[in-house]
Amino acid sequence: MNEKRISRRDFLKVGGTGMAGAALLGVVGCGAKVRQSSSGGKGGGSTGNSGSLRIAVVPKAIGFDYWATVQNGAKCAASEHKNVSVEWKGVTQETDVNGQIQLLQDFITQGVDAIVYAATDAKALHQVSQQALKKGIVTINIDSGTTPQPKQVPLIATNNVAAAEKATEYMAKKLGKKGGKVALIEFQPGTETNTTRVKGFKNVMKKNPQLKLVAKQSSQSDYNTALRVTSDVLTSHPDLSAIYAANEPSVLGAAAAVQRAGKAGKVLIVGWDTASGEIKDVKQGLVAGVLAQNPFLMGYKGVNEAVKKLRTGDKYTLKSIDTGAVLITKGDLNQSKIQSLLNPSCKNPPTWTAQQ
Amino acid sequence: MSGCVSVLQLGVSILWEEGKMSSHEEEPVIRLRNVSKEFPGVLAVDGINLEIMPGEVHVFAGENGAGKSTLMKILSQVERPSRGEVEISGETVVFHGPRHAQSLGVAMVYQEFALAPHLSIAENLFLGREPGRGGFVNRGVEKEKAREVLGRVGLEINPGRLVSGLTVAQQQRVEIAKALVIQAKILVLDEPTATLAEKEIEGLFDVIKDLSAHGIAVLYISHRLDEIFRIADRVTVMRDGKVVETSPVGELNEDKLVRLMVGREVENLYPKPETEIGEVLLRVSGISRGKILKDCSFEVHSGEILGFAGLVGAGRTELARAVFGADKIDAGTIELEGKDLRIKNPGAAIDAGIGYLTEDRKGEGLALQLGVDQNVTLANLPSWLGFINLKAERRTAQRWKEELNIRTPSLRRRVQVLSGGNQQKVVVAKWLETKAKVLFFDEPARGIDVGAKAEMFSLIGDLAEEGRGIVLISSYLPELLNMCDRILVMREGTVAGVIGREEFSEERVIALATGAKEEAA
Amino acid sequence: MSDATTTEERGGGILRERLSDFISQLAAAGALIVIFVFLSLTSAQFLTADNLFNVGTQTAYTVVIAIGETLVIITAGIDLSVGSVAALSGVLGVMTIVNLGLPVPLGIFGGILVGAGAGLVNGLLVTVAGLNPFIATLGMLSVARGLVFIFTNAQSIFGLPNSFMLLGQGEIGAVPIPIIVIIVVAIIGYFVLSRTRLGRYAYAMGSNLEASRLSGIPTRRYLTAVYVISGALAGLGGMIASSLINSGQPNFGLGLELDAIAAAVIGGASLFGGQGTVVGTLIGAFLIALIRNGAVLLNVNTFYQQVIIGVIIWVAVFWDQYRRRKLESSS
Repeated sequence: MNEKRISRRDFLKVGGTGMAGAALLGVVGCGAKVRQSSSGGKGGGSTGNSGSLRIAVVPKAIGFDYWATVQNGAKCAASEHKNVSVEWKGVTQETDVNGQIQLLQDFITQGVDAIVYAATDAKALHQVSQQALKKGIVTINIDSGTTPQPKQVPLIATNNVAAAEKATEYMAKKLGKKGGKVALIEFQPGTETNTTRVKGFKNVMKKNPQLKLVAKQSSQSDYNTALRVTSDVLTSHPDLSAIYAANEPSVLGAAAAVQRAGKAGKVLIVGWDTASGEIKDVKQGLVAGVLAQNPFLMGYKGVNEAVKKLRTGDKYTLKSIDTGAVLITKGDLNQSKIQSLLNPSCKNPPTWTAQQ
Repeated sequence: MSGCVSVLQLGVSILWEEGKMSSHEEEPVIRLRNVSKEFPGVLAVDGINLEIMPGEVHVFAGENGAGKSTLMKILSQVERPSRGEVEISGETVVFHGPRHAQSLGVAMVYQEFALAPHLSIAENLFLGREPGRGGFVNRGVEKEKAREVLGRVGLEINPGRLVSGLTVAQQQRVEIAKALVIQAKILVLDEPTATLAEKEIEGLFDVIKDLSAHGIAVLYISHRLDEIFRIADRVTVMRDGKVVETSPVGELNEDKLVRLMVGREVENLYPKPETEIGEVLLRVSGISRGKILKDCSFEVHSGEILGFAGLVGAGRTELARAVFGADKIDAGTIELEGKDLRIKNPGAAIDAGIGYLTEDRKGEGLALQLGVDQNVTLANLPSWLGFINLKAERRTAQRWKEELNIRTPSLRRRVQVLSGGNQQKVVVAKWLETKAKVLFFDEPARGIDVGAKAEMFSLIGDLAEEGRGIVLISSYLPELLNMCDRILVMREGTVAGVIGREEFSEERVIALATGAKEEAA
Repeated sequence: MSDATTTEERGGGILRERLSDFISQLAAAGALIVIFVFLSLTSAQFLTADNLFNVGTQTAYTVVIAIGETLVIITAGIDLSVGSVAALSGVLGVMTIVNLGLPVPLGIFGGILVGAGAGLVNGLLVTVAGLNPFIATLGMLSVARGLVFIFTNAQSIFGLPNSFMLLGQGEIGAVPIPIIVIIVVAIIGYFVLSRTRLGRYAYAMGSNLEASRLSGIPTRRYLTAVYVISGALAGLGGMIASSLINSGQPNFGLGLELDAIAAAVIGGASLFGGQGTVVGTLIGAFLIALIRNGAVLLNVNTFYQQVIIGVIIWVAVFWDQYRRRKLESSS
């Protein structure tokens, strides 16, 4: 269970477009609300003013492990301060932009002290941030920001471009001077996450002319599709050296295709996310490395920053934080640091990945 | 009728005056010169020369395939003539499509109406020519104008009503009213009485006479001999794409007309056999269904042809459907050869030995995309454990093809492309293959031509002779009066009475059907 | 009502009709051959056993599902839920193996059963509740997908025994098992459509439901059976797909219904019912598969594949309607 903790979000975002299934989920979970009050946890609340604070934390969607991890982080942060309560509320589908706007507007009307949220749509949510700021509510984006991003609203998220560059550089290093043919398996062209993950990849590809991008295919965030297109790519380029796969189903499908083609270990795969299947593939050496994000830290930092700002006042300036992404390779798996990232807990929050 | 016309005439006077002004008695409104239409492999219309005068009711008679409809489609510019010249109001027509034909004053009313059922009458009338300015519809004016036009066609009804709620006869009037809206000089009616009851036909004829009195030329396609003599000024008989004869109706009689249409002598349209009437086969008692059927009882003997007469909506088809299990009934019992039947669905009726040939052959009788063979065996598929015996199926179909003289080049031929008469034979074959003892024929002669009609009635006679019980439903009284042993007349969902052959008369049937006293009828 | 000359009087009509039937199949088959030859010439890797087996294996679930879809379309219905039902069957089948420890064959059977159950609900909604097939299966599309997420919490299911991979990844001789499944399902489908009551009644109901009912066919029962079969084949498809990747994927099959409908339609099935064949659907499905395969082999931008497939749907349906109009106007 813990192993499966992962970034489903980007591919669910995609899935959501076709996912009328949420109609039913909606009945079960829409507007579900978990009120978490944790006054007087471990103490450690930073400064003087310790009036009680209400902080709304709104993920893109609830009911998925990635966001549950964000929730744990938020809860953890709240427990470290006095009189801080977190209200965790979300829509059931990452494509339900209107639902999220309504939810946030409700919180604004209620006059919460701070709103920490992940924008389901960069453009549509911009105005909501503005509304919150106008009412003097401390507003922080986690995971995904808005376009434009207001100066007063920091973004606490993975820097996808930087992370993608890190993974691609690793790939370039592994392939050495000789380089080779590389294939890109993206998941949903046109989405922000996909675009940034491809951008970082291409940045590094440009700097390494010995790497040749010979195929670019989309998995549609579907494991079977990823398997099919990667199989075809391998047929067309039997001498393929490496694959960069931009999310979980893409990595899984690419790995399965490589194994099916009898080329396990001969084609270097790097990619995103840490589903249990992916971790297994890393263990077996089928996948060279996967990028792990730090959703726990997003929730943790999001609430922490909000509390700091509220209790310190104007002296404190909110800043955007890259929560970081770590490339996990076979050798790293047993490190306790990595384990703390894969299975985060409030006792030992994986704060080490953040890059200021 | 004429009384209300004069009142309403005031309202439509503007529309009307124009129609009158164009009616110079001498100049033909349509002139066809050597018009032909060739489809791949067939000459559907072959060198037609014809003149139509304003204000005349001109009937086009002929069997299916004679080229009548194609000729009308040329007039309404649905089809482009292959050769020849069409002149309307003295001007040579350049082919531009149906809308152009309308602008020249040609309006066409097909058997299948071109109405939008979910729009109101007024909206239908002015569809595409809504009164008003800049995209806005002036509803007040629209309604007012609609009321005027509807009055002209004898339809006094709120123009705001939805078309879907109208009867077939009313919808037809709306179609004709559309012709008035475009100020038509030529109105084409394609078998307009096919789905009307006698009383509605009379109303329609009144309207037609009124229109022709106002200078509109009415072109009228018909199969029914009786109405040709009631309505026509002149008759054009077509056969094989050619005009066989055009003459004033006074110079024709029924026999001559049939001979011209068929191209040979037809001895007897209704060959009623003298059969021995036997025991009661089917006994139906106390059938009720909602407000549609109320306590209906009747019996059919072996060898007997029982007619169902009545106005449209009287419940004839509904009664047949109830016996056949096609609709659920609230009460009533059905006995076949003395055995009580529980008929919950058509399958049970078929198993018991009852068959029902629907009035809507294409809509309810045939799977048009399937072959002749597959349609023949549809109600009694030779199979074992769900697997079809294809050889037995072929044999069966071949047998019926020969027995009923179904004209098709191949058994696998889709029934869609057969003529109406042959399609009807396929339906008959299907029912005979079920070994039905009692057969309901619902309007069996509808939409098939004169020759095929005679063949169909002769077949019905044969079936009675074999000892089957036949129920014949028809809106055309001569069919019933000639073919039946007894006629059951329905009125408003009840059995109004049963008349024995020796007491047959049109007046008696109509009196029972309308509820009028016989003297009054 | 129609006033044109009947064809039999002119003869030659039947020949034309037959020819036209043949040509319509030929049109799709012709396109298949053209693309096959084109790819053989332009890609060195296309015409290899590995690649062709690969295409067959990867497209197996689509073919199986499309055959069920064809049956539904023949009855003038449509099954929009096949993608979601395949996913539901896939994850539930896999879960019975992983979580309940059921033997693999039983789990696969369970998955098919789940599909059949969903199909039964579709069928009853259409026949008993009287919902339009589009609406009934649109609802199921949503319900089944929702159930997938409820059961899995949107998590992929891993941890299957290796024996489960046999269905999607095994071989008999040199032939991959999914291809054998295609052949078996296609042959059974062909026989059902051409030689059984069910098949005949499917065509009859699609051509004229009321005439079928009045001919004594228990239309509700047969129509329901058609949806059950479609659901069961979706279930089988879902299990093949799961086996291909040895896991249960909640996101599997999004938009798969469109592939299935496209395959049937390209193969000559009419959405108005009464028409469609297994052979046609096979051709349609492989046409789509080859276009996808070729696009990757030739490194054509992904987006173009979709455009090409869409255009082929247009052309196929246009051709179909054109020849039907021709048939009608000549009759």
